Amino acid sequence: MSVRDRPVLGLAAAAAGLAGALSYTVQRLVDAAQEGPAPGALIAQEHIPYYWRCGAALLHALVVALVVGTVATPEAAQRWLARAWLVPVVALPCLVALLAVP
Amino acid sequence: MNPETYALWASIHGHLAVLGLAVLAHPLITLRRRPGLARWTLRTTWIAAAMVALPFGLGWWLYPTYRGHVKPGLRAIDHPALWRFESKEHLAAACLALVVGGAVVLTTAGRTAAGRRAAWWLLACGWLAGVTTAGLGVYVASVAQPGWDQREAQ
Repeated sequence: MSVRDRPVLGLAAAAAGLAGALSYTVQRLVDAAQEGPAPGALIAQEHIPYYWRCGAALLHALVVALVVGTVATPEAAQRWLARAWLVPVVALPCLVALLAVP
Repeated sequence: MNPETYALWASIHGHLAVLGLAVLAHPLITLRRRPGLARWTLRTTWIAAAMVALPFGLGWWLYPTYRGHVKPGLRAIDHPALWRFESKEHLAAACLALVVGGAVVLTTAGRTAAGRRAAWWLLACGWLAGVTTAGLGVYVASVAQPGWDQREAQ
């Protein structure tokens, strides 16, 4: 396994990872804020919301990776990768929200 | 799926995830302590990512059984484990996104200090989510099992 010097792909992957976590969190918070069916009906539902949320989060992550990978230049990618502090700024509130809103 | 098979796979699911988190500690430590990127740091990152992804997949496979046979009993008595399980599945999804993202960043931009730092933060946040998931999982597994009706326990 070797390391390639491809900062644009690196930035796209970082953006995708964060977008996946952020998308899932936003979807969950929106679900929680909306008036849902009765608790008993949740079990009997044909579709499983968890699968849908994961699928949508994956789709959002891929779209973000595609856009970032297409738009970013290697120089811009290096600049953005240097702002690694943005990762916990986005990820930690997501984790807190997911823990607080079951 | 019968209760015994469910319990077996749920146990494998949990043990694999904990092992994956233990392996993930290696790149988290070495990325901080070493100036460059060692070959084994990258290898253990991908091994950890795979060991987090595999139990996540197992969890997906087990989820309908949990939903059909375990969740109704917990809901009937409004057991706190029901809500902890929900948090666990949310955090597991976030954990996988962050850890896989971190592994790809390390592979593609790990030659530079900026790339390694970004990868470290992604892996660290993923690890934090994973450890919280594991803690919740241990608690949930202690009370949420098929074959044991929560209503009878009351």
